[in-house]
Amino acid sequence: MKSKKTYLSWVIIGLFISVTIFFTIITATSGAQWKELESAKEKLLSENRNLESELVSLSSLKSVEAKASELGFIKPQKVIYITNVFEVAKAK
Amino acid sequence: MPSRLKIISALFFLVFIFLIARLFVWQIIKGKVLASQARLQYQQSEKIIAPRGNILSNDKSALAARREAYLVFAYLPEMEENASRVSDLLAPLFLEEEDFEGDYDEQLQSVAGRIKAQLTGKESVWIPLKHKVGPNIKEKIEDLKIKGIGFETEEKRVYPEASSAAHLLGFVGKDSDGIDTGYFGLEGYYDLILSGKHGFLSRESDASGVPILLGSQQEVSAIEGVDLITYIDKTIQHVIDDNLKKGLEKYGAVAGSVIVMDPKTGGILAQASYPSYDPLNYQDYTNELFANPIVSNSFEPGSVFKILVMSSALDEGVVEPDTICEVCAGPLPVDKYLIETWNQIYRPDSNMVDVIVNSDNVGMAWVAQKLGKDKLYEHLAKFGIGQLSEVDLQGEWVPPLREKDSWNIVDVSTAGFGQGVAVTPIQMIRAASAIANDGVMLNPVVVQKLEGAGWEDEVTSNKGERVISEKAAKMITAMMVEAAKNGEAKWTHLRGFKVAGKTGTAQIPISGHYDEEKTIASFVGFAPADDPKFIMLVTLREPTSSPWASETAAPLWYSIAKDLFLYFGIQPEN
Repeated sequence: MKSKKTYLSWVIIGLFISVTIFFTIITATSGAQWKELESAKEKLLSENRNLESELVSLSSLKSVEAKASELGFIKPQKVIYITNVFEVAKAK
Repeated sequence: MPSRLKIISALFFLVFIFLIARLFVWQIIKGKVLASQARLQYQQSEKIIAPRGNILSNDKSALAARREAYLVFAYLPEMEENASRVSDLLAPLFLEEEDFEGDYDEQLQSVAGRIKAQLTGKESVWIPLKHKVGPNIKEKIEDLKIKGIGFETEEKRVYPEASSAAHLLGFVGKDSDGIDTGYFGLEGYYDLILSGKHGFLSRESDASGVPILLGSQQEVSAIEGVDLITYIDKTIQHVIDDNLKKGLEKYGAVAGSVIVMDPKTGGILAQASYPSYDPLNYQDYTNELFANPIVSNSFEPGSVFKILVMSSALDEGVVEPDTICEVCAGPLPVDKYLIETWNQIYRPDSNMVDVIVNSDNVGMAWVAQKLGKDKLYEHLAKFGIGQLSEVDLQGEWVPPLREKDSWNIVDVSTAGFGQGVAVTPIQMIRAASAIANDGVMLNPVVVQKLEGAGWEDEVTSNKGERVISEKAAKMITAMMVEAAKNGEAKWTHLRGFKVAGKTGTAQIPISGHYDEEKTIASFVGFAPADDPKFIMLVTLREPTSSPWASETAAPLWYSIAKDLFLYFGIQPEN
């Protein structure tokens, strides 16, 4: 009877130690995972911010104007307003 | 044997006493210091940066935006390479971030010398080397793998349109504590809203910096800065900026400003002033350039002021458009002075329309006298002369309107044609916008909405105040249309377009008299006259090609208006 009790006590102690070690390992690795996730999140946010910043710079009128000039667009030299006295085209 | 036992017991006792004593020292005497040292090892603290809000145009594209940047620092205990080598490696990369003038090698040597001096100084072990370094340069520095060089996240302000609208936007500089702070324009006025509030994170971590999941953690979230959605239209801004630069060169003016406003909302659609500065590199410019001339500089308005006095007289019913001027046959004696027309031409049968069309000083002095001191003063106050316009831009200053009791007949007469009073351009356009808006004056405003994560809020409801009757507004508008068509600036008028406008050439007062040669030329106008889409004020300081507004400010106004007509889809009448 006594040996049974001793045996049970050792099992409980062993189980307790194993569970403690298991959770300690889980906790330690979770901390590392947490840190990794945080770094990944920060990296993505940073990339997002850089893309936003690139978008801002590329969509500025100065950039668009430079690009338009590169592509051969020019400002209209003269504007002519057409009066609609005569029909230009009419569907029959 | 018993004596040996006694010696060992005594030894044990002594060791016990020694241990108790040490424990007393560690726990009681040095307990707090050691505890704080331990906390430094396992407690990790960092500031959570609140991103500054963006300033957006009316189509929500950026006028001022945040960009990620880094502080490059050196931690000397971890540094293995010598200071000379580190400075030689970093200097060319730091120089890439700077706009510099002069010899590259000289600049490189200077930057390397500065870094070396910082690294060899004995003041501290943690040394900030360069603020606001961009992500590209950060990557290049990381590739060098210099031990002891680290980075801290910061934020940098970027202005994609460079110096265009610099005076409207302001800039972000440092306050006396080295904290980013907005100055002038919108950055200054809305600094608190744009800044947000930094947060704080404190938690326990192990020796490798990995957070301990079950350890204590304290986090105060950052409150992000709010975005400002303005009335500023980037296309109009670009048009006026481009035209003003060309205009200053063409007319040889030392300075100039253009402001465009929507008279129906009070929204400032665009503003450009030169000379200007680049808000990104504000430190390269003198302080005088930072103040926005539209809200900080006053001038004697001259003839553009006539529309306010005439509309007041029409509102009070003291004159009608067909009232004949009784004194316009020659110069008008007032006290010991003689009031003359600008071109010495006198038209005895002028009615009020002619007085405005010909910009007749004698006729306007007569109108002001008919209106009388009390009514004139009351109307000028209604038009906001002498009061802040309450525009949401930092640095507004207002020249006071002299006390009514101190006005004499000369003051009343000269005020009739805009002399002896001073206004800022924002006051002038606000007053003139009342005419364009059927007699109701709105406060000028730049920001229409505030925008945060998932919410949007209107800034104010701009209901305005009636300053003249609708009838008076329509009568003065018709006079301004005639002035634009047949006045001294008729040569530059765009045929077919219904523009209501008025020129103004004001002399510059210096030490109690007027400068004989220097003038401030201005033109205020709106279009289409019967349903205005915009009102615009152009001012040129000391134009040299001609002193007259009709030959400088007016053609500049029309060259801008030509582009705006296309943009707004305004068609000629015929």
